[in-house]
Amino acid sequence: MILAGLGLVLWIVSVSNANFLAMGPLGLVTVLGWAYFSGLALVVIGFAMELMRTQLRERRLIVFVLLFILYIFATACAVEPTAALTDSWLHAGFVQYIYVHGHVLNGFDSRFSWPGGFSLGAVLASFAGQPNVIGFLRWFPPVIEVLYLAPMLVITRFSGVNRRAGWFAVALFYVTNWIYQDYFSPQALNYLFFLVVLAAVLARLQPKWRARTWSARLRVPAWVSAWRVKLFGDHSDGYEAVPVWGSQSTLALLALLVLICLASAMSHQLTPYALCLALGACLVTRRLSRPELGAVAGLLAIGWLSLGASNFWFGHLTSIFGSVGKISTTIGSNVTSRVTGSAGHLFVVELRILLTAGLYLLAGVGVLRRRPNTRTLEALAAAPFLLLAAQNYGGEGLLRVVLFGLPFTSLLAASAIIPNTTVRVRPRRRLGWFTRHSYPIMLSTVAIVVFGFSLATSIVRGGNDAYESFSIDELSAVNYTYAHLRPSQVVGTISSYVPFGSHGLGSIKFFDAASEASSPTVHLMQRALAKSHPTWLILSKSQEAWGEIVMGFPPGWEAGLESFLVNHGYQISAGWATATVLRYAPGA
Amino acid sequence: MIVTLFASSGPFGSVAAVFVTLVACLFLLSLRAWRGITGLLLNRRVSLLLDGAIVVLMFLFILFVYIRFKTLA
Repeated sequence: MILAGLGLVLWIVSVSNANFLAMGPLGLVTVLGWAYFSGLALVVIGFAMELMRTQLRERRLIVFVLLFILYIFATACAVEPTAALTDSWLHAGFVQYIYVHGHVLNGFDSRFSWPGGFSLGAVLASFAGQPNVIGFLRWFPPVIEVLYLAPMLVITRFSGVNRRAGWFAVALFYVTNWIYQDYFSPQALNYLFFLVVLAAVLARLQPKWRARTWSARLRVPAWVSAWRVKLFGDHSDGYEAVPVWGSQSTLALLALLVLICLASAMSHQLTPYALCLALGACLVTRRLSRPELGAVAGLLAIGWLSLGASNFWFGHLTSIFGSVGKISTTIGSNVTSRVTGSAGHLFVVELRILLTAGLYLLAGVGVLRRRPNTRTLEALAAAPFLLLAAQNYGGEGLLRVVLFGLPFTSLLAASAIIPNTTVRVRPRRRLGWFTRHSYPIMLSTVAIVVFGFSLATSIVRGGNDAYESFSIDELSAVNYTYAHLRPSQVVGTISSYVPFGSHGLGSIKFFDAASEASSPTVHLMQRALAKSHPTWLILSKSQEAWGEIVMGFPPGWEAGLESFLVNHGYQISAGWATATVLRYAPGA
Repeated sequence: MIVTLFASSGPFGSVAAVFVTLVACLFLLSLRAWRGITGLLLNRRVSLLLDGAIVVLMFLFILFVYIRFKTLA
């Protein structure tokens, strides 16, 4: 626990000394000093030592996992003065609209066709006596990640791996989660639903095997059973998994899970289908003896899509079904098109790909090393890939596939290093020096793997923060604009990387210069702004960083754009160190 | 009259048609789950009738959703 205490102290030192305004092209990691990495190393060593104890001390392991959450997910929240990501501010605006008006704004945005999460946000804000949810935005990621811990512990406990590998998998789940879908969003909430449902299914139906009493026509031929044993180690033929709870408890749990599936169907476009696939995977591998839950989840998802979300697909059906079967296009929009930008940005993108590939490689080794009764984990890790065949999800389909499979790939990756089904770690063969030193070898292996992944995740998770996070000045510029905006006036920005959208949804006209061209250049944006001349224009450090890092514009390009605008009818209305608000006043 | 009834597929894609088949499916699935979990013994014929009704209603639900997409989108 000394290592845990030191790790906590070093984290506090690192976030206290971090200068947000000095952030470079590589994002958050450029402002984290030696204290962060030293503290992280101490936490990793402490975790590895606790994990390799003969007798596991689970409370201490929880402390180390919470420290991982602090390092990976809370660092950005502590260093950055406001909530990052434009979408989190926009979602706050959706919640605000429902809070004020009591209904959704039809036809405004596709996300409003799945309003369950936003309605819940409005209820919570009202319950907390807050006028809006802006106070929830900044620290939402670490809070939701802590909420993921409970279902993750249940999943690892009942997944069939031993407890040591289960704890290792929990650590890997957090230190490889670079995907950044835990900001204030329906996806973060629905991921919690996803984990809770699967935890309940895996815990309720433990693999207690009972000989089948079904008719003979349902038994597979003997040669199929033999190949299944040879290829997958699956000895479950002729048996079925049975529930260990009583019927009343099981029915009550099923009713609760159906309610969660309904909530998910009403609040997110993709998670209900991922849930159906996961339940199908459990059914096929016989960790779920009854198909009704998966069928109900699918019916509710399709029912909401056809009835509740008709405002979205009315006239836009190709956006839902247009990419069905186009896997190469989906992969292209998810992977290839993202590998662009400056050298720093390319490094971050390629490191993300490497990190994910490394995790899946380790999971592949785990598939080969472990000898389970069923291949449920493998099926659950592979099932989300079927989503790619149906939807590219605006170029983020692969991210969601990795996200939905992450708990199970973590378990498989943990099995690569600790494949035993018993808790005690013993060498399979006595190999002299390796046998005598098996404890330090295992300890070092766990520590190196966890530290390597956590270091990579620390770099890539905050890798876009140079343009996705916002200063107090930028927020002040947005609030200044809100305060001075009149009806029918238009607010403009260079790109979407501004903390805008939390007020006036549907009533404020917005102009994004970068969206006017598929490959915007400074000249094209100048022309677009000169032509449209929005009444108010917000220039900011994050937009400048976007131009330099992602679009390859020359350093200081925003100052040139500001001069151009001042010469074309704009005047500076208000200025801060990292933001400027211009107003269109051609006669002045 | 039958020709008049089926002259337009629009009504089959209406909210009422989709909603009713959805609720019916959910009800029968709930019944099936309740029967299986409580261990209620049913005649083989009744079991097959229940499963058959679920399959038919699910098929109708998918068909009505498809018609709804085609007529409105």
